[in-house]
Formats: sequence, structure tokens, C-alpha cells
Amino acid sequence: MINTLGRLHHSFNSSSSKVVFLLTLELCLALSSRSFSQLAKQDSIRVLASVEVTDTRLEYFGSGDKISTILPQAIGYTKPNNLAQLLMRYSAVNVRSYGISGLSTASLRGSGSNHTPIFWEGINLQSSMNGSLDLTLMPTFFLDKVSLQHGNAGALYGAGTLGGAIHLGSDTRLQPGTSGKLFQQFGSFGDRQLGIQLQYGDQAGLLRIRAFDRKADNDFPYYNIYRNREERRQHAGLSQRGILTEFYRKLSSHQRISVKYWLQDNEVEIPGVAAAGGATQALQSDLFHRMVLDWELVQPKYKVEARTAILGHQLVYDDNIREESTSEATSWITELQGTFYLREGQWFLGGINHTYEQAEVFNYGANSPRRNRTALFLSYNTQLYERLDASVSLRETLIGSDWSPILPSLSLAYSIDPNWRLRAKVGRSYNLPTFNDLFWLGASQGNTNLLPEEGWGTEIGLDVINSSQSSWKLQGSFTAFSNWMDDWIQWIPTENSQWSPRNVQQVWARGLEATIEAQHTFTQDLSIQFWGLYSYTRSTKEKISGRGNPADLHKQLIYTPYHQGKASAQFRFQNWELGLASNFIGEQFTDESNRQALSAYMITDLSLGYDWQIHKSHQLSAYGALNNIFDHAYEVRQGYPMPGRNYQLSLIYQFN
Amino acid sequence: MNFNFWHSFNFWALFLFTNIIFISCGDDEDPTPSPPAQDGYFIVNEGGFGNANTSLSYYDRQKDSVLNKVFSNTNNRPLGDQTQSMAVFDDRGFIVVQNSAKIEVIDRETFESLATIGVDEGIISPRYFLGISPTKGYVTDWGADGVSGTVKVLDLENYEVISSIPVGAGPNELILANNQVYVANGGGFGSDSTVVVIDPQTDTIIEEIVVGDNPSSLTVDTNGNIWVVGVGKLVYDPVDFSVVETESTPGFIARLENDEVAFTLPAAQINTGPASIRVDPAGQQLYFRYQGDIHQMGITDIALPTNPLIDESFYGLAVDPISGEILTGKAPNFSSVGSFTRYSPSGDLIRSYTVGIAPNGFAF
Repeated sequence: MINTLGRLHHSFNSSSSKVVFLLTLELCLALSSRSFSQLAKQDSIRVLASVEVTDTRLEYFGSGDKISTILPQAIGYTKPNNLAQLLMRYSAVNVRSYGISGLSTASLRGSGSNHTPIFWEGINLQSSMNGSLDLTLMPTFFLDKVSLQHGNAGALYGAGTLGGAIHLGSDTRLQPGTSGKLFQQFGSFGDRQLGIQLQYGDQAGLLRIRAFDRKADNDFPYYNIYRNREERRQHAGLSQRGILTEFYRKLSSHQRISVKYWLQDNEVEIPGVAAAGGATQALQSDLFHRMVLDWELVQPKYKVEARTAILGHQLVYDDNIREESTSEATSWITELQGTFYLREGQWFLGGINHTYEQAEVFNYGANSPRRNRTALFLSYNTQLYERLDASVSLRETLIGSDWSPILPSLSLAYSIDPNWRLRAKVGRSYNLPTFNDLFWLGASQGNTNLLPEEGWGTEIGLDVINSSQSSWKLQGSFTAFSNWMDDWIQWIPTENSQWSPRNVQQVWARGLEATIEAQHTFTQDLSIQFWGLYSYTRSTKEKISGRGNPADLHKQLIYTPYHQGKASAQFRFQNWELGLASNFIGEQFTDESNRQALSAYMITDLSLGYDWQIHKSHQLSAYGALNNIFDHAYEVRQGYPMPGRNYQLSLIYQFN
Repeated sequence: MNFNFWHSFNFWALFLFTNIIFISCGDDEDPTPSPPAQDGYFIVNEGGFGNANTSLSYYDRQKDSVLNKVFSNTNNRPLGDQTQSMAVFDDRGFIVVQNSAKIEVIDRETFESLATIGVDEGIISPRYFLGISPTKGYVTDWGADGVSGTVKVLDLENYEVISSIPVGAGPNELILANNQVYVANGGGFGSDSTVVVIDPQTDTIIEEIVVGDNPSSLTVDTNGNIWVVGVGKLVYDPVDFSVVETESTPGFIARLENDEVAFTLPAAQINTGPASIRVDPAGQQLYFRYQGDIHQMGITDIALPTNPLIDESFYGLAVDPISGEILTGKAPNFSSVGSFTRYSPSGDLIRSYTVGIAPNGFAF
């Protein structure tokens, strides 16, 4: 579930000095942040505090941004296995997916599939080869925090953020003692998952290790409309295992260091389109190494953060017809930033990011592309007239030996009264061509003359929160946005029947988003919670150049539904919880000329869970979920069927 | 603000209300009934590979209009993935859907499905259909690996595969001429250089003619001579993916007389060989695609034409066997609809129509 107004909620509720670096308090293992707080913003400025967002930049210099946080407790017992399912059900993200085990990518606000990068612990995980990250391969067991930044975020986060950004992270609170968790899940179609988490902490540090192993056959029955008969989905299984180790250590009362290492191995059967006749044999295996080292210094008037990360990705694709192909990509990302308190109500941030990417891909031939990017970013935040919070940010990047366009942004938030807030944002971003776009060779040809995609985004929003009674909480937000994206890259057939990417079109994405969240606590034993969102998105091609198809002018982008609606409700009674979640995806065009469409669908899931406190420090939870209760037959992509009614049973044992 | 009016009932009411809105925004299907076809021809829209959006269109000569999606609108199911071709034979339409590994058989007038010959019957990767008799048909099939090609012999009464004739790599178009069947082995995922001749009485190979690299299309002229076009062979350097000129060969046009190569006209350049060779109703004029353009040559010409008849980029080509009009399919890409255009035999534009994705051919 999304807590759109997480920080608003906090600001509205903070009667004491819950202010600046509030999050930092958490991040820094309660180091010296008190001094920060004391310096902090004044209570009359009720727009800056935040709870769930894990990033200083967003925290202090993005007050006009729409941020939504997926709250784990609000998801209840329909716990999705992977990030694709989580975002599909509980966020405004339009997840484009090749079925249950297939490649899934995120699109926000009518942008493209690689226009919403995913940051893990502040590190961009987008592949340099194809510009995306497969959400299906991201286990939710390794994620404690998921938040979304909607809309253009180039000035704060750099290239690729034309649609928004997704921020992922771990729980960094210091928890002294030993604790652990054992998680076992079984589901329909051969789905089984085992997860283990162990952690040990003291006053100065924390070590946490978690591991998971998941297998799914995904051989669900469905009616194959292309072949006019009942079938079982074939060759759609997946097998994954991974380990995530986190180590946090206080170096002094002002300094903290952390190291995280994430190793994950995935083998996925590629099922192919349901309309295909023969059995496909294609297999893909993805091996990820992700390591990030993070250092933080917090002083009363400034905070310095440094991190460096190495990301490795090895992809082996074998279709059992042609020779197996191996691709390897490595990124090295280093970032240093300082946040400074200037004077009452004024903050400044300066930082530098260096990103080095390289890839070895069979189809790049003799090319072994390497790319160096060095970005300088600055932000300034000020409070005006006690009610207006304004941030200006700039980013300039040196890519190889070329300077990118300057990316500015202006972010404003105005507190009308303790319950209502207006916000506005305007910003610029761009997206670099991927290595595949540039260097692919063979029957299809990359294009080294590609220009970066560029975009300008604006939005205005209105937030409301009411929690005047302790038993009630209601919050809502309404946002209108407009986003122009130019030089959009598309692979098109060229003269020699080859495919090649070109900067062919200009896209205008605009729309409306509304979210609502409400909670009511009747008694200590009985509470209820509701969350819902609706979005309307028009994303159309406004200019088509080169060898693009002029007949596609003003047509909606494919797999971009006009309407999306999602809702869930949780009902808690004593140790029981009943949950109901629904998501509606409107009709979406499957061809650029908007003549063919995938039918709209609505999927509803039901869940029931029970928590049993065996002993003071031992807890057992059991839950069951019945997904797609109405057994609706649907496709998320044409030719890629999804399972009908299915179940999930889980047991979680925890001790501390 | 006072939110006290919110109580539990309203909670659920809101939830249900949201759901009702969603449901009411549901699909509004508008299946257009297709009138029976009297006088016209089919346009095959290949669709984007793997996107399950292939479709069939029908051009009505009397009304001078096109009906799109005639298969799915009539039969209430999608056609499949990647239709390679269609042939009309014995009042039936045989739609060859390659990636769906099937042949959909329809009534040529009502478009209603009569049968599906698919994987269970032994179809693997079918390309082109040829009717031999009301009870027998041939279909070329690439096989699972794209190099072990066969001609499947079909029983057109029970819609079964009776037997399988191994022919070579990537068998493509096939024609019936001089009481023999000529099959062009286009190479598939590999390479081949032969046209195989089959006796349709015995379903056995009687000859293999080496014509040049990767022959893909053939036709027969008024004299009974067979014209074959081949795309040539492209060999890529495994390191830098450049074309290795010494091992590659240009495309060509060859004429077969009495099952022997009378002459071969090589294309000027390696890389873009001619394709889709067609003949006019009189059997005198040949049309083919070369570098996307439409070229024309007479059956007595002994050199390739230097200038195209129609200078545009086309994906499909046929000649109307009744009017002699040149019919073309244009695919701006594989994700938006294409167009079908009629030209006079001398190349003057008559009219264009919007069809489905990637129109690659016609069936009469």
C-alpha cells in the first residue's frame, strides 16, 4: 500500500521538533542527530519531514515531488514474491510484463520501460546493456522499504529518470540482540520458497544475513484462445537463490559505515508466446553481484555521505537452437555528497557522482564499450514566508568527453493549513542510449549516432490529511502532470530489412492521479484500513520523424492503459487479519496504430492470516491467500496468459 | 474538517464503489460481422513475431473496400502468431501460421473455420501451402531447427499429415508446373542452394537442381519455364560482424528450362537479393521485389532491369490473376498497421487501403 503522504503525515503530526534529518536519525543508528534536530526546521514549516523515504536528496530538496511509500504492514498477508507483483498490486506503476515468470519492467506516468530506474541503497541498478532491470527477479524478501518518486527526477538522480524513480532499501534501525526469521511458502503450480534471516546487533553495530531459495513451475492451466483448447503453460518455470549480507558499524558517535553484498542466481525458462506452436527450449540465467560500501558523517551543521558500489551482471541465454550467448556487464558507481545547514530554513547540498560502465556482449563484436560519466549536482532549499518551501536543483554531467545538457528542477510546497498542502514541480531529464542501442551488430544494427532522449516534466498536486481524532486517519492526494519526452528511441526496420534504433518521436504524457488512504481503529482489537488509487494517463506520439510511421501520430503508446485503479482493504480483529485487494487495468493498445487492444481486467485477491505469540520472544504467523478469486482469464501482454484462481500458504517463525 | 461520518460501512461501500467503477469501464467489443466473400482476395498480415497479432484482411472487388480481421471476427478467436502465407484452393483458404505451427483451414466465402492442422498433426514450422488435388495438399515446413526442412503431405479430407518428404534447408515457396512440384529451399536458419522437384503422384523427389544460394521464390511463365529468385548468402565475420565478401554471394534470378538452369542473372550487390517473383496473367511479364522496390522484366529479357518500376519500400507483392494489377503490402514497422496498394500493370497507383500489421502477401 502506498503512503503517499508519508512525510506530510509526519509534518502534520509533529508537535515537537520532528524535523530535519528525521530519517537520518534512523539511518545513523541514532548517532548525533539530536543536534541536527535541534538546528532543524521550524515547526511552522510543515512540509519537510519524512518517514519512509531513504534518501537525503529527496528528503530535503524534493518537497514538491510526489513520493509514495509501499508500507509493508499495509500489504497485509497477500505478500507478493517479487517486486513486479508488489508494484503491480500496490503502486501506481504500470508493470509491463511477459507473464508470471517473464521479464517485467516499470513504467510510470506513461513513460517508457527504461525511464524509471531502480535505486537500491542509492545505487542505480539499471543495466547498461538494455537500460532495464527485471522486476520479476527482485525478491521482496530482501527489501524492507520501497518508495516511488513520481515524475521527472533528472536534477536529483540523473539520467534515465524521465518517468520517475523507485527507491529500495533495507531497514537500517539499530536493533540490539539476536533475532531471526524463518519463512516458508507454498503456492499453486509448484511454487515453493524458503527464506531465512538472522541478525545480531549491539550498541555499535549490526550484522544481518538473509537468504532465499525459490522454485516455481508455473504450469498453470488456461484456455489457449490461439489454439482453441485447454492447456497448461509450458516451460515457464523459474529457480532462484540469493544471499544478502549487511553489516553496519558506528565508527564514532558521528560516523557510521556499512557494507552490503547481494549475490543472486536465477534460472528462468522463457515460455514464449502462447500463440506459438512448438515447445520452446529457451533458458536464461542471470547472475548478479551487488556490493555497496557506505560511509556517513553527521555533524550538527553538516552531513557527509560517501558510497561506492560495484555491480556485476552475467546473462547467459540459450535457445537450444543457436549457440549459447553470454553477456557480461559491470558498473562501478561512486558518489560523494554533503548537506549543509546554512541558516534557519536554508539548506544546501553539493555532490559528485562517477559512474563507470562496461559490457562484453557477443553481439557487440570487437566492441567492448566503456562509458564514464561524472555528474556534479547542487541543490538549495529555503523556506519563504513560513509556509512555502522551495528547492532549486541543478545537475551537469560529463559523459566521456561531452557535457550533457544542464538539468534544472524547481520544487515547491505550500502549506495552506495543517491539513492541506499544495505542491508543484518542474524539471528536466534525459536518458542515454543503452549499449545495445549503440553497439549491437548482426542482422540488427545498433546506431552510434543516437541522441539521448530528453524530457521536461511539470506537475501540480494537492495533499490532504486528517487525523484529528486518534482513532481516525484519512489522507488523500490529487496530482496533475504533463511530461514531454523528445528524441524517443525506437527500433525500427531500416532499408535492408534490418532493425536499427532511431530517435523517431516526441511523446507527450499527461494525466491525473488520485490516491486515498484511510484507517480506523475501533478498539485495540479491531481496526480497518483502506487504500485506493486511480490514474488516468494519456501518452501520445506528438511528432514522428525519420523512418517512423507518420500514421501513428497522436496515438497512445502501446501497453499504456488510460485507466488504472487499485484498491485494498484490511480488517484486523485480535490476531486475525482479513485482506481484500483488487487491481483494475484498463484496455491497453498492443499496436502503435491503436487498432488492437488487450481487454481490461480486474483481479481480486483475498487473504487471511493469524499471528500466534508462542512465547514472549517467539512468534508464529500463518497465512493463506487466494489470488484471482473470480478466476478471471487475462493477459498482461498479448499472448502471455496469467494464472487463474490460485493459492499461497505461508508460515513465518520469528524469534528475538 | 470532520471525518466522523466515515464509519465502517462507508469503508466497504467505498471499496465496492471503486470496484464498480472499474467494472463499468470494461471492454466494449464490437465484432463486425463479415459478409460472405464473392469476388475478392485475401491479404495476409504477418503481425509482429511473438506478439500474437497476425490477422487476415479481405478485399472486395465489387465494393472496392477492405474488411480487416476477418478470421477473428468470424471465428471469435485470434489467428495466432506470424502468418507466413495463405493459399486458396478448392473453395477453401489455407492460412499458414508459422510461429503457431498450424494451418487454419477456412471456407473461402464465409471465412468460417473448417479445421486446424497443427502440432498434434505433425506441423512444426510451416511456410507455404500448395493444393495438389481436393484430397491432397503440400506444405513446406522448416522443422524445429530451421534447417531440416520437409514437405508435409496433407490429407485434405481428414486434415492430417500423411507423410513427410525431406527436401533441404528452409523450404519456402512451392509451385505446381508441368505436373511437377518445384520447391525452393530458402535456407531457413542455415543455407541451401537447391530447387527440389517432386512428383505429386508418388510424393517422391525426382530431381534436385542447384540454382544459387538460398532460392526463396519461384513462378512459371507462359512457356512453362520456371523462374527462381534467391536472396544470396551473407556470411558475417564472427568478430566484428562485418560481411565477409569472399564467402558471401549476391542474390540472383535464374530460369529453369526442362529442369535445368538455363541462365542465372546475379544481382549487382551482395546483401539485398531479389524476392517474391510473380508473373502477370498472360505469363509474359515478371515482377519481383529488389531492395524493397518493385521491378519488372519480360520473360525474354536477358538482363536485370536497372530501374525499379515502383520506387518504394514494400513488404509484400502479388499480381492479381484476373486484372493483372500489381498488389503491394507496405509495413512501416511490425507494431503498427500497414497498407495495401493497388497499382496498374504499368505501375500507376490506383488506391491504398489500411490493413493489419505487416502485410506480406495475398491469396486469390
